Amino acid sequence: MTQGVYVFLSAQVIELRWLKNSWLGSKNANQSAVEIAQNIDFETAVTNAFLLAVKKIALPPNTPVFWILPPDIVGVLCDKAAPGEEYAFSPVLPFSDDEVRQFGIHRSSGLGVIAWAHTNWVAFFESLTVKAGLLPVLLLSRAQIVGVESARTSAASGLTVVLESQGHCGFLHAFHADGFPIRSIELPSLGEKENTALTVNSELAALVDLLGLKLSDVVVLAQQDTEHAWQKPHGVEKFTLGFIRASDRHLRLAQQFAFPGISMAGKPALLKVWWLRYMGVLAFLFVFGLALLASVTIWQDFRSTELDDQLTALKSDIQTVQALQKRDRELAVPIQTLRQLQQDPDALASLFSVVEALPKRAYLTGTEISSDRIELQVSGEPGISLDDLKTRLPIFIEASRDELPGGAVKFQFSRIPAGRPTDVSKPKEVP
Amino acid sequence: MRRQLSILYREKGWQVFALPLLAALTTLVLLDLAWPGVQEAQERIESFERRLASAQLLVSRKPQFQNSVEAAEAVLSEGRSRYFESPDPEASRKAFLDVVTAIFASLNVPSVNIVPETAPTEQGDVIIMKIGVSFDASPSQLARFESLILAQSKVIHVESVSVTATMIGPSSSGVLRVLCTLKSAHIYAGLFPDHKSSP
Repeated sequence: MTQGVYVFLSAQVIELRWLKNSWLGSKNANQSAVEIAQNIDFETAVTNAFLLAVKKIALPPNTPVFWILPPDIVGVLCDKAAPGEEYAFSPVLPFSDDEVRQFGIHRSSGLGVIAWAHTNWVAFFESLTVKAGLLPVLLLSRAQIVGVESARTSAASGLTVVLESQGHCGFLHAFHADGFPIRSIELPSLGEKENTALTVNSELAALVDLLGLKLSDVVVLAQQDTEHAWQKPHGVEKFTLGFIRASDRHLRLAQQFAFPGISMAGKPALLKVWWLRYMGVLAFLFVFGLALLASVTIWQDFRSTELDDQLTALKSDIQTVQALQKRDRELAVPIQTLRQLQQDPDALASLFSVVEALPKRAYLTGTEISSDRIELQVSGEPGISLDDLKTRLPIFIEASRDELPGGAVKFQFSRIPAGRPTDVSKPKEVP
Repeated sequence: MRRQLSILYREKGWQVFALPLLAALTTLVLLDLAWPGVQEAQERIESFERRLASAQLLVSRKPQFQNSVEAAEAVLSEGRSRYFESPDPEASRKAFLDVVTAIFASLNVPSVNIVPETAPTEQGDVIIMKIGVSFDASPSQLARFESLILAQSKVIHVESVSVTATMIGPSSSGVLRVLCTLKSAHIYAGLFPDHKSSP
């Protein structure tokens, strides 16, 4: 989880917003506001107010701090240049280059915009942050954060001017149609309405002149929920009152260095945290992969042992069954032979059975009896029927009766061959 | 996350990519090293599983084999007393021939011809032995022949019989020319576990 504290500073009040970012999005963890004492020197007053505000929300040590500062501390400068010409900011700056820290906000379409702060201010905020036990990361202009969202959603054709306030301090931020700030100023005390309106009007006139627009094209958005009621500037047609505030998304983007700003001593420390986190994720994935591989191997060992144990447990049973199987195989053929021998009909018994079945006057003149065939020649009683004999010889089912010359009858019986179905009347299906 | 990575790239340069690449390469090398072992272990597990399944199937068929063997043993032990049991088929053949010769001696028929029919090369634990006999007899002698066969302690089957006669019937008598094949079984003594221990 990452987190950051955003400090909004004006001449009258200091406001802290503490955002915690997690995988599920950002959460406004806490906020506080402290009035800045007016009767003592400004730097001391800011120091006292900041330390009090930090104390109020009990921030953990080394929380990254992002200062969002008013135009009289971080100024915005805009310069127009023809293509191929260098922008000239240095002559406009009230200090020499080595006394100033600056960063570019925009540089194209003929417009160059920078923000700048005096090195003394940078050092002051850096040491103040460290004094509070926090991590100084970045100084940003108020115009970069406050009102950008509203200016973008207004979809202005050329210029959007945002009028907003913090306490009794009013600010004017002007945004180019592409969304970047081109001017940011602090207005005179909001109590002096006429003075404020005059300043707004003269600023609008200067901006319109700079960009070559008409005043009727300018969109003006003013903050609604304030003690101060903004008046519609003279000559402006598109004037809207709305809710203007720094969105959490913008603050998060600031934390991710999406906006340029003045880096302070704590930035490398913050990057180091990121770097360590990145390394941590990589190390976790690596270790996770190794653990996965190891767990596969361990599971395989476990499973092998388990199966081996089960096989060992079955070993004596297997040997018993194998012995039984061997004995079964050994006995199969002898037993089949013995059973066949016992099942074969006795030829002599068949002969006596047939002789008993013959009618009184009949006599056999020849017989051939084997286990699968019987042939009889009967004389003296030609009327003897096949069925009479068949009941005596139940296992010989196929029979024929032939009349022989001389009044004898020849009967032939044969046994069903082994493996043939007993129900011979049913025709076999031919595939 | 993406923005943070791009800022890290700005700060740290190639290390941002080099480290995950190194980690991935190390993982790949380790995987490559470990893979044959893992595969081998998997094959071992599969072969164990196959062996276990077939062993379980075999064990589950134990009652089936037991029943079959018990039934076979019953048939065998019954046959042991009823047929000719010996370690040598030749001894059984001789015993069978002796029994048949004795039957004809007591039957007292004028001419008898006894021919052993089983080929001496026949192999097996149970061998069907056959003896062909031809003799002349009266119908009453034929009936006595049957009762003599049935009276033997060993079972003798009449496989086939061929009778040629002029007058055979309930109310007639005459001389019959009889040709029959007798058969019985030799059981190899080694089939019985008690014989196996003392050859």
